[in-house]
Amino acid sequence: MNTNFLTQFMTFQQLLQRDWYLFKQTYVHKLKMALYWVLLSILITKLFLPSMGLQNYAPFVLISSAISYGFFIAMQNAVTMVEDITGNQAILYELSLPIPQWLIFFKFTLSTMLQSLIISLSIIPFGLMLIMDVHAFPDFSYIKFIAIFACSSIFYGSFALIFTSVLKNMHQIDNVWLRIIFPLWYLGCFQFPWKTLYEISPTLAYLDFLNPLTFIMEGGRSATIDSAGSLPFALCCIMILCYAAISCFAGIYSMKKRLDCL
Amino acid sequence: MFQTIFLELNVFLKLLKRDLKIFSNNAIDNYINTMCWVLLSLIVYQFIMPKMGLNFKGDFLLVSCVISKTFFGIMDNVTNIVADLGENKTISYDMTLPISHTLLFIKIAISNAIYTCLLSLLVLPMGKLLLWNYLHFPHFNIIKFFIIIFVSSLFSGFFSLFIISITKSIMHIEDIWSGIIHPLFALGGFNFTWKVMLTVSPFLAYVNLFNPVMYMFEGMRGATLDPTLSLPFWTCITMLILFSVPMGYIGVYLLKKRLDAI
Repeated sequence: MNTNFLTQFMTFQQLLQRDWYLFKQTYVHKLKMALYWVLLSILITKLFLPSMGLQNYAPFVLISSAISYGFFIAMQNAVTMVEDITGNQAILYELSLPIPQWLIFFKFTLSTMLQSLIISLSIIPFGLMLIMDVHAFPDFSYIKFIAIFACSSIFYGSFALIFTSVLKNMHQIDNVWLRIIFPLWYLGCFQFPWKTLYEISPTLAYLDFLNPLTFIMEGGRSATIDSAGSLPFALCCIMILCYAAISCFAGIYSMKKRLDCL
Repeated sequence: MFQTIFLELNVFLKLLKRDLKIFSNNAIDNYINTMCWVLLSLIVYQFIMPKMGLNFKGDFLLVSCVISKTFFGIMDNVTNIVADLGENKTISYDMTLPISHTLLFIKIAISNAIYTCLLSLLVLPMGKLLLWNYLHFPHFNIIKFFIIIFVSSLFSGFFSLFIISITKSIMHIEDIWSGIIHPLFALGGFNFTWKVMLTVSPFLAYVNLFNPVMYMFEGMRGATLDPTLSLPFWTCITMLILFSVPMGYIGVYLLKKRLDAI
């Protein structure tokens, strides 16, 4: 039994190592793509939006963009997986390895989680350099910062599985993007604090608790720019992990069903 | 000679008709997606962002959304064509038809322009229907509105040709998004006007005069919002037409080279 467990563990580790190796090769490119988007948004926010009425909004955009970028990494990985499932089906090889099949999907979750975490964290120093304000993050807490990025990455990794199971083929990508991903991201307090939404419509604000990204964004802001005005940090972390667990179980179940696994 | 011209024109129209049929097959999905996006953007910018201090509301955002659709609308077809050039090359069949290759590539641009025009035409009425009492356009000029959509779509169509010609493979589409499309769009003035840019940074504002997307945004604001906010309408139209020529020319030239066309 121990040998069996060891074999499974070794296989799992090797697969994860392979993903890590592939990620290392594309890391600089992925970071570059992320920085194009984030830095440009910060530049516009810092330079032009004050004249449109939004003062000191750049740190807000930086933390929202950095912490939500993992969502897009998860999407990219999910799209690659769907492309494979509907095309070459290289995943069939992985499913034939001496390892429980659910572990293959869990490996995908873990790998996406690590990628999201690394890219998201890498964005922050570049963003801060552009903002050029030592007080950009007045409520910065190192422990909270690492904790919220880790929790959000765990969620993104799990959500990538849900996304993969929802996306039947590449033709549906626009539908899934505009009807699921964009609303989650846009209404998930990316551009505004939850408190503002509550002042406008308490019903909508409470409904927004069904959106995991609300907790991610609020947690991110609580750890950096506004701990008093955001939702309680611990609540954000707990809710994110709950959503991650649900996504992980549901994702593995749907993927097993989709690929006729044992 | 007239017979040849007539034949080429006939093939050109038949191919356009085929493309429009494909568009009509996906029209409902496309309009639902557009509506989701417009509705969410309007909710956020009409009700939430003004609370954060932003001094423009849904009307400003809605006209920006029209141009966003005109500009981004081309990317669906760009992705499909780039994927086709890399794999199936169904374009090879079109190239055997009795139509000059230049005209065939111009057909791609026109087809993309019609596609994006049909999508963006409905954005403003959709938004107005959704938030009837909140959106006011006292300076709305319907003729200018149609002209700017038509010219912007035409520019987008020829720009799509340029993008197709420089995108080596589907793997590079993300680079194009991050390196060309997003910077042009974000600096084009989705949420600020050129005059704001001029006040903040005259240098950047003058550099931005080389950004065709800026003329799309400014022209649309000139046609629908207070014309004193934006650059002169007819300057925008002239500049967009001027930008369309090199985009089309370079696009056709590079595509002919890439596909060994005659």
